[in-house]
Amino acid sequence: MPNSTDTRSASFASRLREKLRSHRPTTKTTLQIGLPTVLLLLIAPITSDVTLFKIGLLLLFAVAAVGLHVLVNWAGELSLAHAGMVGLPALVVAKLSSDHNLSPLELAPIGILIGFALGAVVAATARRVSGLYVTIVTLAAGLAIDRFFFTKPWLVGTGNLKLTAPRLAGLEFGSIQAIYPIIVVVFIGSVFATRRLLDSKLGRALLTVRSDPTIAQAQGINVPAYRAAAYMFAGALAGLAGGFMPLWAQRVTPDSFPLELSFTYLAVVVVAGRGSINGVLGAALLIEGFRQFLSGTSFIAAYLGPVALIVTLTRFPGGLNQFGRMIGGQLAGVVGRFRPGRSPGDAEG
Amino acid sequence: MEISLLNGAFLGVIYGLIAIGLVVVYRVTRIINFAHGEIGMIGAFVFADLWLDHDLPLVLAVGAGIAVSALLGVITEFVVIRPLRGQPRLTVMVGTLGVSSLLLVYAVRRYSPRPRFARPVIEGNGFEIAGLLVRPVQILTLVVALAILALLALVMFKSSFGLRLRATALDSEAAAEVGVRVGRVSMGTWAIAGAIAGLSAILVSSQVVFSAFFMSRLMLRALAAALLGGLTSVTGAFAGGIFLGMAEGVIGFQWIAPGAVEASLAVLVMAVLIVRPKGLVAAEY
Amino acid sequence: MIPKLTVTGFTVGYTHVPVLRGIDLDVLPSEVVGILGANGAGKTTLLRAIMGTLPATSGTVQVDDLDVTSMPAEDRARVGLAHVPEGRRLFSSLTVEEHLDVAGLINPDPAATKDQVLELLPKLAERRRQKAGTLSGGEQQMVAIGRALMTAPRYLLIDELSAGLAPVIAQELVEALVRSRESGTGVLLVEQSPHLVADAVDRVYLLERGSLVAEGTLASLGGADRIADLYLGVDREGA
Repeated sequence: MPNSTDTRSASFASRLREKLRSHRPTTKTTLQIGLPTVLLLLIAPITSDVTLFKIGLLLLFAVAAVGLHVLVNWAGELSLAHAGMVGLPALVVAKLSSDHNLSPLELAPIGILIGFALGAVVAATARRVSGLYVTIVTLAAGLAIDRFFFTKPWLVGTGNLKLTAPRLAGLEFGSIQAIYPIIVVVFIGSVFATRRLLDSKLGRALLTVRSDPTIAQAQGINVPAYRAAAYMFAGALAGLAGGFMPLWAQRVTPDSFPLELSFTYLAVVVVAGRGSINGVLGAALLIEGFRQFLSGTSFIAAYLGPVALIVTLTRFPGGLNQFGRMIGGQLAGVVGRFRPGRSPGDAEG
Repeated sequence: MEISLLNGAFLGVIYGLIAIGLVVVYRVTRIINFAHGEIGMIGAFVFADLWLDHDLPLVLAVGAGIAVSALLGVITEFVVIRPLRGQPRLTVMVGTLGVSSLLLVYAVRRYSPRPRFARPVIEGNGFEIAGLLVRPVQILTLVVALAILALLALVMFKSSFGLRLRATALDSEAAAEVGVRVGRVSMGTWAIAGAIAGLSAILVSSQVVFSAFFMSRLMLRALAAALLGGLTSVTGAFAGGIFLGMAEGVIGFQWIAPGAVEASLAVLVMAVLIVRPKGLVAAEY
Repeated sequence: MIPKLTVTGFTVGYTHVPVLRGIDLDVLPSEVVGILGANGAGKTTLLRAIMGTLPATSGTVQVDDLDVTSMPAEDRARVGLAHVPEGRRLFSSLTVEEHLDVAGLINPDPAATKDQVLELLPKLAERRRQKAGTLSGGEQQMVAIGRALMTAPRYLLIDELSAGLAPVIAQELVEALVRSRESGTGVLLVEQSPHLVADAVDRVYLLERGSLVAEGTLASLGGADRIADLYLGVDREGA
């Protein structure tokens, strides 16, 4: 199992690299990437540090959620270990940084590796079971990560970790305003890399695996390898988000990654529904955004997140992506020449 | 060692009791109800409010708590389960997750997140079994759990509601075709599960730290118990709970490191499911 | 107005590709009506839509003078429709007797109906306490029929009685059904093979690619052999 998976995921990664290299930027993609980047960067000077901090957390949350989206809505798998996959890389990076006086920025990529490895472990445990039992096995895996690693003094220290000032290539990133662009780049980069990945043959192969493993097998798709690759991809993005967490938050404790967080991630991708990444971003804003920006402030705000979740699901069981396609379709009808945005999930409705 | 086994067994009674409610819902709705714990928790808070703060007689307070939980079960069925009929199970489960966080938000805002005082429904000095001091409420919990199992068996196999329920659980479309009102069966099931949740929570509240999160914390173990029992068997779920509790007792006795118990339990559940993917006990209807 | 089961202008399926188009049919009490069609002609869809477990896009269903179009299956069962579905769909871990009992819950006099059913299908009495999942195919089909009859239906819809059964057993079941019509139940019998139901049916409809293309007695349509050749040829539907 480890052997086949490793070679397979290596080809997964190399195909990803190839995909990104062969991609020639066009005006359209430049706009697609440039516009949100500029908008996100423009927010920084006009908001308070506290708000900016929350925005950064939300962006990192979204990066991890995009990973789970690929796993759940594209590959048709499930994981309730996602919080651990964000948390463990975050804690390791923080620990290394504080013990060895290293910049958390330079260490951040280690997070990806740890997340990737955790993904492989969860994939291995989820392999033999199916259906609801995957929920439980991954939940148990998450619980094991949570309770085994997060309670170890050699990992989490005795109290708060003291982090060195982040620096990279001689530059110091002393303030939150200076670090923010890095987070924006991580966010935009992972969203668009994932989008390109899903638009490629790989995305279609994942859809085939989800809708009918037998047909996929017949088409020469190595089904177990793709499943494992989806877990590892989800782990890598979770690890990416986790790896940058110490840099952004300056202080990470196991309490930042409770087991319930795995359920929140799952709720976000289910509310997003099958299809494009836009749904995930919307759902992250709806569920985690409401919680971070509004909760505790007023009566209505406290209930907004859960109510939004229930209403969205019961009105649009296919999630925000279904809602988006519907609105897109209506707009297309109203404005004859309007072309609905590309959403890869359209084909299988 | 014997003490930790026995102590674990009594813990396991709690897990098993909660697991029974999960199985009742699973059999008809085919989903894990993630709001089960919170539905019970609200009932226990209502009970504590009435009994301790408003000096209502015990029986009335217990009845009110159970009724509130049963009602919450019915509301969940109506608001989340019914509109999502025919949707992927994951979607429905996330719907119950929404209900659970809604109820938690309510409880935290209404009662604050801090632990409250909980008085056992029966008090007394307790007595010793094999060197372990067993409190009366622990015995009562065991008796209630066994009574619920017996009552469920009676309803399932001797009443027409049970017959309708079993038919619906096996094939709801075929049941509808012979005139079974499937929606009412589903609602009745959620009411029963809600009532069980409320009763369990009332009994458990004095045995753990009684805050808004007390049932949520037990959910994972209850879930593991239900799974060990194969998800569709109430007796299996109860046995699974006791097994899990005893394992916890022994592990906790052997290995005192923080987190060791939970981590090993998680690994144990994973191992069991990987070896026997359908649980330890075969399904029973 | 004569009491009967009436289906008018029935269209089922997606708007662009209907599985059934403009179906009109009726069944009188005590009448046995066959619907013959090749694989994929839409026979199962038709019965499920009449029973109400599949939504119809347009058209109406009337049981005697009651319009049941907007009723769910559980209410249609209560006003006198019963269905022996494709694949039987028994409750695998319920006993034979429990199948009869659960269906009898909407019957005002279940004990009397049960006696009739057990007389009609004596095998069920022998297997009373056995779980449905452990029965043979023929016995399972008997349970499915017995369960449907226990609701004391005005009209009984039967999907491929013969599927997976030895011809002798299928014939036996058809004869049992014909006897059940004495109680006034109208039967709508869907089959692929005209020969099997030749002796049982009063009339047949021919269903081809979602539309009814002919109606009449078997003789008026040229007899079982000719129908089999003309309409039900193996390759005609390509399915």
